[in-house]
Amino acid sequence: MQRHAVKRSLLLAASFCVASLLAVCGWAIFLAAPREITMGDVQRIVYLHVAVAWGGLAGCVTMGVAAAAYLVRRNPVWDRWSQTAGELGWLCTTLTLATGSLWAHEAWNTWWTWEPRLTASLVLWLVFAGYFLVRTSLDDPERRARLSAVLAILALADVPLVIMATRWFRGIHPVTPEMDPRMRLVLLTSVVTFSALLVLLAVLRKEQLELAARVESRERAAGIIN
Amino acid sequence: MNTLATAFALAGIAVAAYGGWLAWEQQRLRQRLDALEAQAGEDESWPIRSRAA
Repeated sequence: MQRHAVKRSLLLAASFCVASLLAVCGWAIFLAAPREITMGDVQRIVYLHVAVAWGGLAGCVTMGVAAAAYLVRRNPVWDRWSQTAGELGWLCTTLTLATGSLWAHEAWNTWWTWEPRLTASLVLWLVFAGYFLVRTSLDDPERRARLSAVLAILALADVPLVIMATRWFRGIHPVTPEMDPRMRLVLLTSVVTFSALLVLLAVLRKEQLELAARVESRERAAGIIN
Repeated sequence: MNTLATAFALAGIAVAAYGGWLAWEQQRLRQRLDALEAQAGEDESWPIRSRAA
């Protein structure tokens, strides 16, 4: 009971820290960062776009690493971490595509183009979708964990492709544009804040999956489900 | 400016929706677990009550 109370206090403190970081980040993006000359205020999308893109890639890597750990150890905790990372990675990749599309409309005058990095990011989104399709279509927990772990490891192959696509295939997506040092600092703040938010959400979701497993095992014991 | 607002609103709505769903699902699971534990407790105490009667 005391352990539960300590955990709850820690989560509350972490939530407060993340909320404070979000407030600072909002101030940095909208007030502290200088206005870009060519694109104007719309350029501020970059601070969000890069942060969510980083979240999507980190989610994919974590999903794959946790899946590999599951296959080695066969401990369901690793499967839960893999699922959690996959969910957040998918959410971030969706936001990456949406914010990127909004930015592209202003910069390139088109919502979408089959540019190498954009295409690789869409493939990443589809891989996440496939991962969850596998997860939801299998009832046996052990088989579900094993098959989705294999898919999660295969998904890792797309990460270097997303990162290097522009260099390898000469796309038009900006790689490392020249930036004012203040802009670079705001970008770093945004990435750190978003990472902290994702870690907090991941911990909460993983706790929830533990609880769901306990409920399932109770229901099985009570004969409510097979 | 509209594009900028749309991008940040989308991100805010997506993260808030995920966070809200997490909180709602957590509450639902905890209530379900409490109900199952209470039911299991009743089932275990039933033979004792029966013997006492």
